[in-house]
Amino acid sequence: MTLDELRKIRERAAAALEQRARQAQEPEWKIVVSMGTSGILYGAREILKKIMEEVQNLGLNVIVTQSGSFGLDDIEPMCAIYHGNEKVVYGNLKPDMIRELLETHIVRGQILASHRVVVPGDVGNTPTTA
Amino acid sequence: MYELALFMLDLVQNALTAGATYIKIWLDEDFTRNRLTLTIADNGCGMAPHTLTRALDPFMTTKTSRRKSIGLGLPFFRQLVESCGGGFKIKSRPGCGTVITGWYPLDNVDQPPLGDWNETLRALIQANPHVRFYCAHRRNQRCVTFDTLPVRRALGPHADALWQSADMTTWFREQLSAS
Ligand SMILES: Nc1ncnc2c1ncn2[C@@H]1O[C@H](COP(=O)(O)OP(=O)(O)O)[C@@H](O)[C@H]1O
Ligand SMILES: [Mg+2]
Repeated sequence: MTLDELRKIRERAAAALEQRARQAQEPEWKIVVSMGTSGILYGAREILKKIMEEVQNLGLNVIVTQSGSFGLDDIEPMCAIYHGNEKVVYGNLKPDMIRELLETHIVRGQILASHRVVVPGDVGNTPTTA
Repeated sequence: MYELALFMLDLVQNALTAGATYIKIWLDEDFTRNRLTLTIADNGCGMAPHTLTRALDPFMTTKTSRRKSIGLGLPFFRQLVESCGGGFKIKSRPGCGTVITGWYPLDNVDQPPLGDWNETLRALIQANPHVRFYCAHRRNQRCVTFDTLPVRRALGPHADALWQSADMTTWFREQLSAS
């Protein structure tokens, strides 16, 4: 029965999970991929998959999820990276730049200026790490 | 869109936006009856009759985004199945959710490939840990079903922390490709 394998996954991860629970309950970071019709047409599914994969490769404590369109169809695919109250939006993403994006933004706490998008209305919501 | 899986992803995003917590995705490839049927049912907010009528209009959306705000997903899917010689049905009621069905003959030359069906499901499941997905894929007599509810139960209190782990990616892939 395959659910037994799930129990194994659970046991294998137990130590790491306990450590994580001691440090912080929830992931500090959240990445939301824009998954409206136009985002999908421009490759948002590959971006979502790649972000999940690189988050695993880099061992980051990040939750990755999706939402409807951000309303900026001409610079899809896009994602928003949240850290506490800070939100930074990136556009014109390509799968092969996702690792660099995560290393720059999350590991080093810097902005990947070349793909950063300032969304009208989000002004003032700039990260202190910039 | 060049894959049926991408249309499915688009329709599921509509359900997620509608606040669904339970989404069923049935894909039935029935070669004896020469018919492919895709059904997506959700328990989201549903649509009132006037919204439903307008939802099939390519320039309607209930979203009020900052810039472009045209709704395309539903008319797009309808256009796909109709151009493949099939049909489209939608049932929705406020507070009761929505069921969308599209079908077309499997021998038509205009149909898109299924695309990366299982990987699309896998990404949806992992990116939405709190949504229950029930997926069924029937190909002639073989039917593979997958429900995320027992998975969450088996992972117990650590379900959230484990859901997007590499181990779970491998496990979901294996389960979904059991077809
Ligand atoms: N599953 C659903 N549940 C509730 N409402 C829906 C659903 N699918 C579509 N709608 C409604 O129909 C409208 C049009 O959908 P769609 O054509 O996909 O465009 P968009 O998602 O860009 O708004 C949506 O804005 C929404 O109000
Ligand atoms: Mg839509």
